[in-house]
Amino acid sequence: MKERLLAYNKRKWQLLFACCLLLLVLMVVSLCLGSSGIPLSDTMQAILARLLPGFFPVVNETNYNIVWQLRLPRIFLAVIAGAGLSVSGTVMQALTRNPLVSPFTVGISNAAAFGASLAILLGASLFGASQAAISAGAFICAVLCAVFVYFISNRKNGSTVRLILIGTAMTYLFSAMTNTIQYIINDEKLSSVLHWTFGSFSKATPSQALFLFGLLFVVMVIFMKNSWVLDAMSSGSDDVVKTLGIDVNKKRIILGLITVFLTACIISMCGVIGFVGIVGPHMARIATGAEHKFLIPFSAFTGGLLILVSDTAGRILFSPIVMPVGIVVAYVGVPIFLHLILSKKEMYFK
Amino acid sequence: MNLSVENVSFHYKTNQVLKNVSLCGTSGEVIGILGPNGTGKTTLFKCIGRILDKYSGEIRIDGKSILDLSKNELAKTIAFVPQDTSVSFAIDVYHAILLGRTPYVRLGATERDLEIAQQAAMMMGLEKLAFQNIAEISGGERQRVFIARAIAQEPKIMILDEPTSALDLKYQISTMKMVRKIAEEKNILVIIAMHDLNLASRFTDRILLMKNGVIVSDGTPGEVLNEKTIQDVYDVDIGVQYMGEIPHIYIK
Repeated sequence: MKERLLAYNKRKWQLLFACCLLLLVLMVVSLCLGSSGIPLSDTMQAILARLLPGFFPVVNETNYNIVWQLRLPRIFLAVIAGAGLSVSGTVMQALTRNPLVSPFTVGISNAAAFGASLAILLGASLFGASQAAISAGAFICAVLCAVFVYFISNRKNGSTVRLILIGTAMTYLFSAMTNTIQYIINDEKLSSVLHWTFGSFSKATPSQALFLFGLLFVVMVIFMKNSWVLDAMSSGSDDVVKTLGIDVNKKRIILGLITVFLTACIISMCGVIGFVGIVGPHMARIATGAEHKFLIPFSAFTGGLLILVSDTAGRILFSPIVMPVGIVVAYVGVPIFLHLILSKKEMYFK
Repeated sequence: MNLSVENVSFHYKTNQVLKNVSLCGTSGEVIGILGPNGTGKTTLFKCIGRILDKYSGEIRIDGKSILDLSKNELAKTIAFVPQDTSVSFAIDVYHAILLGRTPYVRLGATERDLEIAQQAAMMMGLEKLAFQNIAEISGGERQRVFIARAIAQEPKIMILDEPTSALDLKYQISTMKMVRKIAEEKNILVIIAMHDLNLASRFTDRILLMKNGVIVSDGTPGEVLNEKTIQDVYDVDIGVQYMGEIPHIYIK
């Protein structure tokens, strides 16, 4: 038994390594694709010219700039955002023992959309310095909503069902408030609001990508350290988990707020990108099972892959028009999700 | 190891569930807690396992109040097998048993943790199911997984909340035999809530009969399970036959 388990684990680590290589390859392929296609050799030349300047000169300045200034920050941010949202979904599902929960269930996305809409209503635009004001508005509202939902639902022996119900109620409330703004706002600002709520990486910057990468790295370390706790919390009722020596309420609040913070940071920079928080964890669960030591890194991979594919598809399918990733991800994610629900593989998340 | 529960009372809002309950137990004993539905058995278990800690009275293990133990120390002392063994996310049987090592694990399972979980699985006859999805096995098998998890916890006290309620006759008997074996081989105190008076009579050393949050009778099966007590507690017309010293209850 013990030997077989260790052999299984070894195989899972090998599979994860292979997945990371696959993701890297797909990122390079994605770098080649877009309204102006760049051959793979030129893309590699541009990458190596920056990494090993002494050995590889810049051959084509335009391609070099497209790769380093436009596509790489965008692709890097897309993968990090997808990975972060998927990991947040995985942890949130474990904390609530509910496979249909994602960070958005607690009302974050609608709160963020309201915050961004409010900032636009008050004069911010999607360009220049006011973009920071929109991100700040989205972030503040998302965090306030999540904290409100957490603390209200935890009053007097709160339950996960209560958390989901209050989250759902807040989702509708913020949705109504956003709709109100959209109803009264002028056409120009309405266009900005809608563009933000679609979710997009078109304004990705290297500093955003690096910040989110650092944040995701720290959060992943915390989650991996708590992977055993998450296994226990997802496997049985709170009463049983308490008898294993785990402070359930404390862990739920701390880990829950970390997922909220990560999600709020991502959507404040990239807009509302739904679905990956639900689909990513389930794809990972099918690949590796429900053990969080593997599930967390695998769900980072599946989330990153899903958003990378969606964003790349959005850039090339209707070129030169770029479809926002928030729209494309639903076209890619819904068939996968339906397949999971209708196939026997749903047993993995029963 | 000695467990003593002294005058423990507990209420949910205005509903007094436990009223001055006292009991004691020592290593190797199997104590059955019997009584009608809603009589406070599960609440008593939750107080002993400190799932509920707002009780009055004292619960001590070897003279030390359980409220003075850390969560981890308590988890190393008391293991709880719930009545409801449903799972939200399907994990392998072996990993489900390994979770019993939670109070001992820091970052991940060690060789020793894997070894102990393997022994617990073997003790409960789960080797062949070890890598099966826990959602795909039967209710009786899942019950055995949760008992194996409790064994892997290496506790001094094991509390089982109606482990036989959803099982057929074969599994009821095999589960109770396992419970006895665990108490004897591991020298731990087992407290078990159950509804089947004949199973309790056959497999427990002592029976505590509860009604309306009060222990009305405490003693060996032969002392507790008599017509008058059972009729008083359950309000039913039954008869008792004795097979040696073991009482057997039948419906009149």
